[in-house]
Amino acid sequence: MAAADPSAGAAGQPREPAGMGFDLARWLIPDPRRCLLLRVCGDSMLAAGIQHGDLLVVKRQRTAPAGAIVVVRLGERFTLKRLRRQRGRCWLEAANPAYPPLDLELLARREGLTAQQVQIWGVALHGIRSFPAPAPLAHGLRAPAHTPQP
Amino acid sequence: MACARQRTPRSPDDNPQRPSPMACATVLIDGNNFYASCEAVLDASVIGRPLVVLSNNDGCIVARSAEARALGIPMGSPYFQVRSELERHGVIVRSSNYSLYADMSLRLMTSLEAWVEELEIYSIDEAFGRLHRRRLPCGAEASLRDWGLELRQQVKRRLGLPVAVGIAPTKVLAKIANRIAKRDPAHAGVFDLGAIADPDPWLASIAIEDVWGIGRRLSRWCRLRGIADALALRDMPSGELRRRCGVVGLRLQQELRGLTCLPLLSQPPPKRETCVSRSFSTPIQRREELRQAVATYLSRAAEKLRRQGQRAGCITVFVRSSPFDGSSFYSNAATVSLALPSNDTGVLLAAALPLADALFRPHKPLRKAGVLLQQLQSDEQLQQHLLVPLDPVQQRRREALLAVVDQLNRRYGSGSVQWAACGLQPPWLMRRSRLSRSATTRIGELPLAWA
Repeated sequence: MAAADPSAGAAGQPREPAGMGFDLARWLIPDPRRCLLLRVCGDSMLAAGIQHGDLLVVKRQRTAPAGAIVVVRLGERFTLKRLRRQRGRCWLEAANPAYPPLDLELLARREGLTAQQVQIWGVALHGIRSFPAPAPLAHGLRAPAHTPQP
Repeated sequence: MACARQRTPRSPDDNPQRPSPMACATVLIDGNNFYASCEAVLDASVIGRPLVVLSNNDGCIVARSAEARALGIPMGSPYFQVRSELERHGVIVRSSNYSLYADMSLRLMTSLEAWVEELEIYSIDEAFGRLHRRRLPCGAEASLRDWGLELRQQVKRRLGLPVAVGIAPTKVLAKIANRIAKRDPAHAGVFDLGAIADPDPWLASIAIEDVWGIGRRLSRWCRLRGIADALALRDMPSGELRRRCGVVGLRLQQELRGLTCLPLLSQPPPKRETCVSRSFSTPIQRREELRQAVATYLSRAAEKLRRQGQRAGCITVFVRSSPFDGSSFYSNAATVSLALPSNDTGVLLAAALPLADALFRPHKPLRKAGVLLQQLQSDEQLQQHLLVPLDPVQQRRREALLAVVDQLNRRYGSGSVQWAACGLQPPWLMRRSRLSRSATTRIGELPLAWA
């Protein structure tokens, strides 16, 4: 009969890259079938190093260990927080003192949401941030002289 | 006829008394309401709400979520007819988002590969699989129901897609098992017809029209003979079936009896032809617009050819007016053979655009056009033509150019680089007013995670 997790076989193992250098995509997205990209909106996870506009690699799963940074379906939105468990209850904790923790059960009751509408949707694996393009220099100015020359 | 003797449902080969410890099972796994389910994967506001997906040009309903089904919204109904009803029920309406469905399909199919020994991708949302199943000491076949339930649960958790699993000895029976799995919620989306001691009542519950491979004309023929369900078809005299539909019908009957006649096709056979056609959102009344449409479809077809490693020897362009707009119906086609098979968009355009000119009629508004590429042959067997000597260097540069164009279009979205003949922002372009975002294939259209 089938093993407990048949998909964890050869297909799930990262291959040794054949070419030069790292296979970065493979490392960032270990299982392309299960991983999706989301865009971060808001600043509640600042202390966890996640900023507004970051790209988020999320692995779909319905359960997560305490302490994981999770994407939770809350009503009509996906919410990004850290998962905490205490005495059998689940909390969503922000990484920003301006945001209070959310008790999932209380929240569902208060908003009248069903179990389907309050659900762990995935676990955030990586955040990817691009640096903004440098502002154009004013006319006539040159780049600082100490910029190392190739 | 002699074939009447074949009424025994099982042949000796399939006799459980044989000492073989393993039997083969065929499964059919398909996505429930696949397009509608894909729309819900990356849009939290859609999950659990009624939703319908419309066909090209937002014409008809082609998929319904379970919730929309429960409201009694009929499949296939034209959008304009049910629009007010949909609004009244608060149904979400979406245009077909093919890039999303194709991406989710690929995720689903690659996930399924690990679950079976052999996989045949049958359509965007269906796959046949084959795997071994144990025989119990008594000779009966061990149930794969638990295996199916686990597969279903894992696909739901990891991809967010609901699937149904039909398990049986053959493809035709697996189709039936899949139908039963979906029909009754008590089965929880999985049904193993092969592990059931007496499948006859189940086969009797499948109407003849719902048997895989039985078309409308054949089902009418069966009904006239009193063959109303899958069981009756299985047990009807084979000779009669053979006279009516030859070996195809016999194979179907054998499959119903549990004898494998249809192998799994893990490698799709090479395409014999490629067609791209669309109906226009607004009728085309100018020659220039028809040329643009034909050029657009042709460059898409040529891209397909290059992806498949093929060249076309023959191009057909076809056009038709609307059969409903009151004017006299116009439908026409023209074909040209190429001196040398090609998959070069430029070469194909030069051959096809004169056909578009020839087919155009000033007072016939066109509703649809298409391009059909035939006499396809593999890239490798390009034979040098005596009269058109190809400069190999030129040819290689040309191929490199097209490869770059294809790469750019794959990476930045189809149409990022295109031939000028295709036109910019043409008004006839397919209408998809309620298109969801390409949330799995375009970095600029990702869903938001609120932090």
